[in-house]
Order: sequence, then C-alpha cells, then structure tokens
Amino acid sequence: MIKSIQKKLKVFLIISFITVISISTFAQVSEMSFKKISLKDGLSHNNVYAILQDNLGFMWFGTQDGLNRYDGYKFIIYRHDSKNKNSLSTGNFGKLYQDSNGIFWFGTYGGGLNRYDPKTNTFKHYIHKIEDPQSISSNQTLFLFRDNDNDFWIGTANGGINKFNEKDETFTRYLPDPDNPNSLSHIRAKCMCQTSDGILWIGTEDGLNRFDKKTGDFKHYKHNPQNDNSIGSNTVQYLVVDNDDIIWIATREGGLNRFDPKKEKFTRYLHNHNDQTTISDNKVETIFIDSYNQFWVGTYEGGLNLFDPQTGKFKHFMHDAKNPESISSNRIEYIYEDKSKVLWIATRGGGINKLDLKPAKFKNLVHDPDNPNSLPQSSIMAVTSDGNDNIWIGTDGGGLVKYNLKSQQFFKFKNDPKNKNTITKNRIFSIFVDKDGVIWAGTYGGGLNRIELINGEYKINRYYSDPKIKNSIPSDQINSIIEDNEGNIWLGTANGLSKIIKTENPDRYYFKNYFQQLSDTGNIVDNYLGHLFLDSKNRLWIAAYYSGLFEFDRKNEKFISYSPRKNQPKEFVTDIHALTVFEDSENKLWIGTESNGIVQFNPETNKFTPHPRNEVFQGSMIVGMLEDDMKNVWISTSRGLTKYTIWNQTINNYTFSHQLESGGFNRNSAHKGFDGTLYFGSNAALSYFNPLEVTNNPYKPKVVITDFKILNTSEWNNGPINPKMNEKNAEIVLTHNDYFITIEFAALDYTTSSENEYLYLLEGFNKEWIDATETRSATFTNLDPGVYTFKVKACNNDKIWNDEPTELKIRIVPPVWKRPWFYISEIIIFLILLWLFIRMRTKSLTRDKRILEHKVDERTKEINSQKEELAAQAESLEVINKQLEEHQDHLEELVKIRTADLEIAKDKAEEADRLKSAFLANMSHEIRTPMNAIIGFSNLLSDPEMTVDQKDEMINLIVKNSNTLLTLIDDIIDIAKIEAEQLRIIEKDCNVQYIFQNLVDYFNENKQVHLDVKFIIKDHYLINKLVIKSDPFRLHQILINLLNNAIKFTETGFIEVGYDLERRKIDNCILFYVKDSGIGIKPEQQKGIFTRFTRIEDNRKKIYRGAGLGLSITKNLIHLLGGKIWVESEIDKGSAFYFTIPYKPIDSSKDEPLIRYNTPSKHNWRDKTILVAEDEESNYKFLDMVIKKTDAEVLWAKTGLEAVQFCQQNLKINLVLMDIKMPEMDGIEAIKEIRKSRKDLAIVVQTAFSMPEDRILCIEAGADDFIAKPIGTDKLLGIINKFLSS
Amino acid sequence: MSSELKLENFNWSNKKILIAEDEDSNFRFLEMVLMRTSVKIFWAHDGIEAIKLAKLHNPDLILMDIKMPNMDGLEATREIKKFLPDVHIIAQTAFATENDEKLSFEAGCSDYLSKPIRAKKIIEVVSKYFE
Repeated sequence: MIKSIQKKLKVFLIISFITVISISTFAQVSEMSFKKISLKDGLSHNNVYAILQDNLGFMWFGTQDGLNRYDGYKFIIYRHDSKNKNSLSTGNFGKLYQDSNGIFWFGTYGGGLNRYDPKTNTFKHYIHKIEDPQSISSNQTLFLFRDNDNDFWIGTANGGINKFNEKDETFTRYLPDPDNPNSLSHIRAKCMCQTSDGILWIGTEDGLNRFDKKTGDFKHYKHNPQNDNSIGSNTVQYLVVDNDDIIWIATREGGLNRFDPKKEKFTRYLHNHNDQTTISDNKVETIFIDSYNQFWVGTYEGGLNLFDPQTGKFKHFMHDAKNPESISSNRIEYIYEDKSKVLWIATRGGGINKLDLKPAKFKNLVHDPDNPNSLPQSSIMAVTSDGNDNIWIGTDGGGLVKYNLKSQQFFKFKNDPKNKNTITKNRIFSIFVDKDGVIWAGTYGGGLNRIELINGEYKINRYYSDPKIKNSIPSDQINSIIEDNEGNIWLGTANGLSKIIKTENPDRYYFKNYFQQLSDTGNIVDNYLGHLFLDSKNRLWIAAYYSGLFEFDRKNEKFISYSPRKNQPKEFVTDIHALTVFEDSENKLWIGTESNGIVQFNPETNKFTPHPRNEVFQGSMIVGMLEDDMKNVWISTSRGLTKYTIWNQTINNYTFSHQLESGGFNRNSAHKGFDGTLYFGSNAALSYFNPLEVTNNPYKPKVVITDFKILNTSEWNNGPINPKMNEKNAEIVLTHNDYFITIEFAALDYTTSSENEYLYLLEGFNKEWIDATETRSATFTNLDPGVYTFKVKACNNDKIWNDEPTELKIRIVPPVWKRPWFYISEIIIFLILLWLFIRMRTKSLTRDKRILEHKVDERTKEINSQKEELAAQAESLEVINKQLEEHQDHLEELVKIRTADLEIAKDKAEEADRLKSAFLANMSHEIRTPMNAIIGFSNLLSDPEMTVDQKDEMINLIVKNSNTLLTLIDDIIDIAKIEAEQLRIIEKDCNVQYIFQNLVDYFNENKQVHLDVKFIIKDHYLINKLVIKSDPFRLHQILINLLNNAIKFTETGFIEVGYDLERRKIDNCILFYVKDSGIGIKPEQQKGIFTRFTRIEDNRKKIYRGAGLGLSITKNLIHLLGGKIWVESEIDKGSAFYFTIPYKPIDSSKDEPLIRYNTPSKHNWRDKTILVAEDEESNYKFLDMVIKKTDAEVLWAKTGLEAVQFCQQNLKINLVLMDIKMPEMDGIEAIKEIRKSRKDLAIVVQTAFSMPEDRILCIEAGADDFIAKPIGTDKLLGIINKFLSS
Repeated sequence: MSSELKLENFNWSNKKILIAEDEDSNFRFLEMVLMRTSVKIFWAHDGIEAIKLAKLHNPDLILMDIKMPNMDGLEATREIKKFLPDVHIIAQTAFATENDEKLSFEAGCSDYLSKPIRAKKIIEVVSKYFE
C-alpha cells in the first residue's frame, strides 16, 4: 500500500466532477501525513465514535469512555458523575450535535439523549421510560439528525427512530410494525440523510428506508442477490447525499453503494484483491465529502480510502507500523472536517487522526533507503534543470542524479574507479547545462566532468587540476559554473577563475585561468570564488568569500573590486563574506552574505545599501536567492526559506511546519526551472514548489479563554463549557484575596497548533502586548482593586493574526473595609447600638422614676403643709419681682433706642464716607474743568496767529472760568471755616433793598445767556427801603447762593426773589424766598440737599456743575444768622427756597444815609434831561424811580417814533435810554433816525436782547453803550454818569 | 501754542473730527487749537448727539468727553464702536483717576487725555492717528 504511494510521488489527482480544474489542483494530496492524537496525548479512550467542532471552535470527541474537549493542546474529559446530577448520563458516546442555538445534544450509548446548555452549564437527560410512550424509545442512540424542516431525529439501536418534539419535550416513535408494510424496516436504525425533495432516508440493519414525512410511509430497498442494481447489503452503516442528490451508502459486506433515488438504482463499488484501485474493504463504515469535494471512505478493516467518483478509483491509506505518518488504525469510525479545513478521522483503537486538507506548499525529494527510486543521498549541493523535464541534482557523496519530472524516475551517476566513463567524484558541488545540452558537473576535490548524451548514452569527459600543466583547471574544487553570452564556460573555483577553451575534441579542451592580484582589490587577494553570476547586461559577477563582490571585465581580463569595504559606509559592512549574487527584475544586484544578511548593489551608481528588511536575515547565512514570476524573491538561508515581496516589502518565513523537509539550505543549490518551479537543496531534501501554490492558511484563529485559575485552582472547568466563554462582554469579579490569577487560552486553529502564536495585554496593567506563545497563559499577582480588560489574540501557523482580540473584563473589588456599603453598614450598626443603649437607659430610668414618684408622693404630703406657710411669704416676693421686671423692661427699651441711634449714626458715617469720596472725585473734576479753559487759552494767547477778536474771546473765557474757580475756592474756604467754627457773623445795619438791587446786577452778569429765563424781582423790593440788623455780607451771600442755584437749574420760565414781612407777627422773623420754574427736587432728595457734597445728579438731561457746597454753606450761614431754611419743590415744576432771619428793625430815618445809590450826593443831575424809550410801563417806572433820585428830569417815549420826535423837538435831552424792541419803530431804527439830527446825543441801549451780536448791531446803529435787562441800578447810574459828567 | 509744534505742518483738510463736549469753553479751546489744521470739526453737546453726528459724518477721529448730559461718553463710545469699529476715539475728561482711564479703554477708546489738556498734547495725539 505505502509502497504504491511512494511509487507515485506525484500524487493522484482527483478531478472533481463539480469543481473546475483549477480548484482541483488545490486538492492535490501529496504524501499524506497523518497526525495522531491518542490516549498518550490525553485522549480519554482510543475508541472514538464521534467528532464535533462547536461554535467556539473547541473540538469534541465522543469516545467509549468519556467526552473530550480539545483546544489543540489539552484535553478536558467529562464522564458520568453519580454524585453530580448536572453531569452526563453516561460516558459512552454515540453521537454529538450542536444546534444553531448553541445547545449540545449528546447521543449516548446507554444513557439516552443528553441536552447541555453551555450558557447555563446545565444538563438535561432524556431517558427511555417503559411506562411513558412519549419518552425516547431506547437509551442506545446511533444517530442524531436534524432535517431541513428543523425536525430532530434520533436513531436508536433497538427502538427505531424518534422524532423529538422540542416544545413539549416528548418523542414520537417510529418502529417496525409487522402488520404494516409501510413501517420502518428494522428496529436498529443506524443512519439518516435527506434529499433535496425533503425525503428522509434511513439506513437500518435490514435495508434502506425511504420515508415520506407527509404520508408517514416507509418504503424499503433491500439486497437482492439476483439484481446487481440492488443494494449491496442490507446492513446500512452510513448515508451521505452529494450535491447531485445522489445518496452514497456505506454497507457492511456490500461495499460502497451509489444510489440514484430518481432511478432507484444502486451501483456497487466492491473490493477486488487484484485491483489496487478498488475499495480496500467491503465493510464500509462511514463516508465523508470534504470541502474540496473529495470523497473519503472509512472501512472496517481496510483503513481510509480516497475515492474518485469520476473514475471510480480508490486510493488507500492504511496503517503501517513502520511509517509514523500513516493512519493509526484501519478501523475507521467517523470522519469530520473542521473550519480550518483539517480532516479529523476517528478510529477504533487508534484514537484520532488529523490531516490538513489545505494544499501542500512544498514538495520534497528525499533519500528513502527502502526505495531504490529515490535520491541516493539527501544532502543536496547543486541543482539545475534541462529543457527535457530533467532535474539535475548534485549530492554530497551520492553522486549526480537526473530526475525526470514526468516519469518520476531517478537516473544516478556515480563514480566507479574502474570505469573512466563515470564521474570523477561523488561530491558534486556545481552543475550546469550549457546551450548545447552538455552537462557540466563540478566536484569537490575531483575536478570537472563534462557529460554529453550521445546516441542514448552518456559520454563523460574528465578534467583535473595539475599544477604542472599550465592550461589545466586551477583547482579541483569547482564551486560555480556558468556560460556567458558568447558561449564561453566559466568556472569559479577555490583558486581562481577559469575559462574553458573549447577545441574540436572535448578531450582536448583546455583552460585559461585568471587570478586576482593585490592591485585588483587593494586589500586582500581572494581567489576563493564561491558563486559566478551573469547579469542581464552580460556582466560577470563573482561572489568572493573574503573580499566581497567582484566583476570580471572579460574584455580587459581584469578583476574589478566592488567591495563595500573600500567605498561604503562601515556601519553595515565590516567583513563581508559574499556567498551568492543575484539580480532582481529591477536590475539590482543582491549579495547574500555569511553574516551581514543581504546587501544590495546598484551597478549604475556603485552604491551598496542594506536590504530594506535586513533585520529579518540577521543570524542567517544567505545561500540562495530566486525571483518568481510574481516578483517575490525567495531567499534560502541556513535557517529556512523566506519569501520577500518586493512591492510591499513583506516577509513570509517557511520552516519545517510548512512541509519543508529541512530548515537549513545549502550554497549554490537554488534553481528556477523553466516552468517557474523553484528548487532549493538542503542537507535533508530537495524542496521544490510552484510559487503560485504557496498560499497562507487564511483561517484567522479565534482565541478562547479556556480556563481561569485563582491561586492555581481551576474555576472554569466545573462543566463542559464555562458560560463566560460564550459571553460577549464577559466579566469576572474578584476579591482582593484572589491575588494570584492565571488565564489560559488557546487559538482554535488546529492546522499546526504548536505554530500558533499568542499575545496578550491586560488593560489597566500592561502597556504593551506580551508574548505568550510558550505558556498560552497569563498570570497576574496582586492586582490593585479596579477594572481591567484582558485581551488576547493569536495567529495561525502561517502567522495570520486575528486582530480581533478576545476580551475578558476583570473587576477586582476592594476589600470589605474599603467599600462604601461597609462604611454605611458600620454607621447603621452604630446607630442601632446607640438606640438600644438609649432604650435600655430609658427603661431603667422609668423604673427609677416610678420609685421616685412614690417617694415624692409621700414627701409632697409633708411639703403641702409647709407650702401654706410659704405662700404668705411668696406674696411679698411677687411684688418685688414685678418691680424688677419693670426695671428690666425699661432697660431693654433703652438698649433698643441706643441701638437704633447707633445704627443711624453708622449709616450716616457710611454715607458721609461715600459722599467724601464722591466729593474728591467731583472736586477734581470741578477744578480741572475751568482750569482746562484757563490753561488752554492762556497758552493760546501767546500764539501770534490769533486774531484780536479771538484773543478778546479767550480773555473773556479765562475771566469767566477764573471766576468759577474763585467761587469754588470761596465755597471751599467757607465750608472749611464752618467746619472749624471760625466763621464769624458780624451784625450791623443791613440794607435789604441794596442787596436786592445787587441781585439784579448779579443775575444779568451770571444768567445763562442762551436761555430765556425771566428774572422777577418785584419793584417794591427795589424801591422800598428795608434795613435790619444782620450780617449784610452773609445775607447777600445766602441770596446769591440761592439765586445761583436757581439759575443753574432753570432753563425756561422765571426766577423770582423776594421777602415777606408778614412773618414778623408769628416769630419775629423776616421770610426770604427764591423761587424758580426749574427742574425741581424729588421729595426724597429735599432732605439731603442742605448736606455737604450733595448734588442733584440723577437728572440725565443736563450735567450741573458745582461742588455741592453752596446749599450747605447757605444753611450753615442761615443758622449762624439765627434763621431756618427749607424748600418746597415739585419735579419739573420748580423749587422754592425759603429762609428766615430774625427781624431786628432799625430806625429808618437813621438808616437813610446807608442807601448809597439813593443819596443825591453821589449823582446830582439836577439840570439834566433823560429820555427813556420803553414800551413796558413797569420797566419805565423802575427807571424813572432810579433816575428821579438824582433829580434829573425824565421823559418817556413809548415807541421808537416818539423817541425820535422827542429828540428832534426837545434839544434839552442829554441822554437817551433806548429799548430795542418797541412798537412803530424799533430801537435800532430810532437810533439811526436820531443820529441824523443829533450826532452828539448820548444814547444808551437797554434791552433784553443781550447777545453779543445785538450789542454789535446797536453800536453799529450809533448807540454809545449797551445795558442788558434786567438792569442793576448801580450799573445803570454808573453808565449814565459816565456820559453826563463828560 | 508752543513754538516747536508748528500747526502749519499739519494739513488735515481731508479729515473729520467729532468733538463731544458739553462745556462751551472747553469746546472752543479744542476748536481753536484744531481749526488751524483745516480739519473739519463737528460739535456734539452730549453722547446722543455724538452718536448721531458720528453716523452722519463718519468722522476719522472722535474726541470724547466722558461726563456729559443725556448719555455719557463711555456709553456713546460703546455705541459708536458698534457701527464704526475702526474709528479711533480719544477720551478727554476732567476725571483723572486710573479707574477712569481703565473704564475708557474698556469702552473702546484708543487713547486718553486728562484735562487740563495742552494744545501740544492734542496735536500730538491726533496726529498719531492721522499720520
């Protein structure tokens, strides 16, 4: 059997009848290598009946004794546990099944049906009960089958078949009924399948049954010895339906049967002793169609068969005690394929066999001592191919071998000392097939052989080194042979370069030798030439062991050194031992070195650079490099084979596990065949492969956390599956006592479990992934309380990583005394204890109290008698008490009043403080504002550019602002004096009339010129004499202050000043008033206005200048004079200030001389005549009164025209007081008219128009002077006097 | 007018200045100083008028008194900055404490002159924004 396999190393190709040819090439099965899993690996029993891969990826094996869970490394075994109800009903297994909900169904042999829910880790047993017809019909299950309608069928050894009704957990039995020909044919139902038409097929001990669920009828198919198209045997062991709805039947004694249900025709495949391509045994146990559509047939005694339904031929795989890679047993029970395309074969007695169905990557030629048609020796030193499907292999001691790929026959060349037509030596170090088809074989120590096929026979010429003969080869060690584009053969020897000079007769060929000189290298003479290489531009390159890369210039016959030592950075080449040279498709030279990895050389620029992934090659000798047609460079090294993909610089490493026979490869034994096949020779085999077929295992392995251990005690193996394994965000809660935890895990890809690699990370603890390939577990100790996430990921044997890590949350709760609820309960307990304590105390106290009460009662009686005596005393005490209470009340009252006073004082102080600050800011502003004008204009005055008019204006403005400033300073001084109580009142005769007359002047000088405010001062105040005893200066100041105030706050209407003597009768005071129609004062402000620093500020319409001192000074002055001041005011209507001063009259006759302007001594214009032109009578009367006192004659003209007429007629008139606004003819016109006749006549304009332009108009018209109304007497008389006296 | 500052050197006939000042004499002073540079002068007597005139004439510079009736200079400055964000407003006030200066800058003034102001200083500051 095995021999037959070895005979055909090239494997038997299955051309599947469904898949296309290209896929079938994947299905090539090279020399089958069965991996065995048995008792000694930990399996519970070597009789295995069932295999299942679950949803997590675990493998489950049902054996005769125990259920096994396998993760690729370890077995966990479950058996019946009589102490544990939640366990299997028996360990003897029939079949395994997992449904789409993840529920496991275990069909046992003897224990009925077991249901296991991995999410809750609970078992449920369904056992045959004689009294219950709805229980399962038998405890010995033979199959579990779920059909396309989701009906679940259980076949039994002695109860026919059962349909399980999952809702009510009952079973419907289907048993043979002798009275019903349409019932099941036999009580022992072994297998079931379903065709696409929904028909169920049941294999029994007595024939095949066709079961139509709709009719409930069973139809029987039985063996008929007379009919070859009947079933081969009535004992049906297994049924499989293929993609064409063909049923394949495993029969006991009747071979493999093919059954076409439509034609109802059976085809038998039977064993034939004389034909190795027939089935190996007629007792067929099981059939399996794998994912490559290969038919596997397991037999009772004939091992495993691979069946080709197309050809009807079988290939046998049987146990061979000598071959460790053969199948472990010839009794096959069950075949199963897992998700990563690994075939699992359950045997009886031999445990489990594993076969990787994925296409083999590499093929190997090895020496087989038992097989003459194999390599004579496994150590390969040279390899090449010719155009005739021959591979030429040089072995180290086994001679030269020709292997024909088609015939798979080896032809061996060996040295025979007696025969000159044999090769010179069996250690072949180099082989070359030249363009004429001549084979050149260089040896180690035996010179060169030339082999030519002439008339079907090989003729060999030998060439040896002979120091005596100049034209012999320079060394008997030939490392490398090539042919250049001119047909010259070049030899790289251990001592120099040699060119074969061909003559007509090969016997007479001679050699031209070239040796390096010191001048060539400038450093070291190195004639040990390891490898010759002709590049695409026909340049001859030499890898020299000691001095690196050389080129041999064939034209000039000179060596050129490109040693990186000479002109290249030292960091990556110190001592470059070049072993091999190679040119890639981008015309870059690659130099494989002994210890520097790969150095790349650009012949265009003469630059050396390290290979971009040179780190991969550290520690490896680079012995061979070949580029495949996909631009991958395959690099053979002393450690294995590496595929480098140029465009993306990826690396794939291949070693033993990839079916490479040897990890380490030999020098000069890399070759690319004409068909693209790559050959690499090692010390163990010649490995060859089609680069296109080397694909990686695409199955990304899922990592499962297989166990969680606390203090080395397993926590997760109390049932087949720990529910956490199925949880997506599984979390484990640990206490601080669990200070030593271990997490075990496994990647469930079984291709080569030992090649899977692992990385884990505990988030919150580790910062980087940690390799756990060796241990497949992670241990943590003394983790602080907190939440961690454990992550683990893995790669498969081809290093394909599953980047989706498996996660497990670990929460470590703080110890009891660190948890919040502990604090809380502590407090609660304390409170309860406290309450208990109080209650107990209260109880004892109550008891005490009762005793005391009793005592007290007795005492009370005694006391009562005493009490009466005391009552008398108490009455007197009560009186005293009352007095005390009253006294206390009084004291309280006093305190209250004081407190209130203090509060008021405090508020006042605070208010004062605030006012003081405001005063400072305000004072600064009030000083700076006039100063601005004074300083600014003073500076401008010196400017020569300024006109005279401008300068006049400036001076006026300076004067005005200076006066403002002066007033302010006066006020400040006054207030300071008042404060210091230094203000003295000097009482003397005070003429109120005079003061009032002065007010008129003051108003005229200080009124706001642009406003229309009438100043009302009744004539009698100006005319009637009133003299009192007071301080005239201060009274004047008081009135001026009040007038100023009124002027400031009045924009339209009037200001009226006056006094009232009627008040004398009440309190002997004289009442003065200043009224205005200004903005008024709010009632709440009226109280405060006499306080220092208080100013009217809230009215937003206008900013009122002032320091807020005037009214305060006024009030103080009035007080000093012995009077009072108050205000009556209404907002927007106006204010009236009233004040009184004591009325102390003075004899009026005595007073007369004090009225200065009324004394005839001052002005005596007895012979003068003055014309008053005035349309208002009151105005005329005032003027008349004032002027008459000077004894001058007064004439009255009521219109301008009258005035002109007066002047023309009365030549005595000395002066005219001319109003401007008059009926008939206005003043200006009148002046012009008068001037026509009376040029010398003095004309003084007195008018209410007081704008400067009015003044100019008047002067232009011919007026001599100008007095604005209202007219102050002093001023009026002064002006008149000016003209009359001149 | 100080001798070193020659007003003849300044010709701001293409510029417009708005002066907000409620005190006549102070306005006259500013006017007299500035009119020699031929600059166009607009006079606002209070904050509201200042806003109105600023909108109307789009001045190049505003000399803003702080203490004014109806609306004070700070408020007017804030309002004007809303529609003339780039106009330079120079506060000029008889308040002379640091806080007043701070308030002015917060309101959006570019510079601050404390009264009494000298002619030279006015020209200096104004020219800073005109040149």
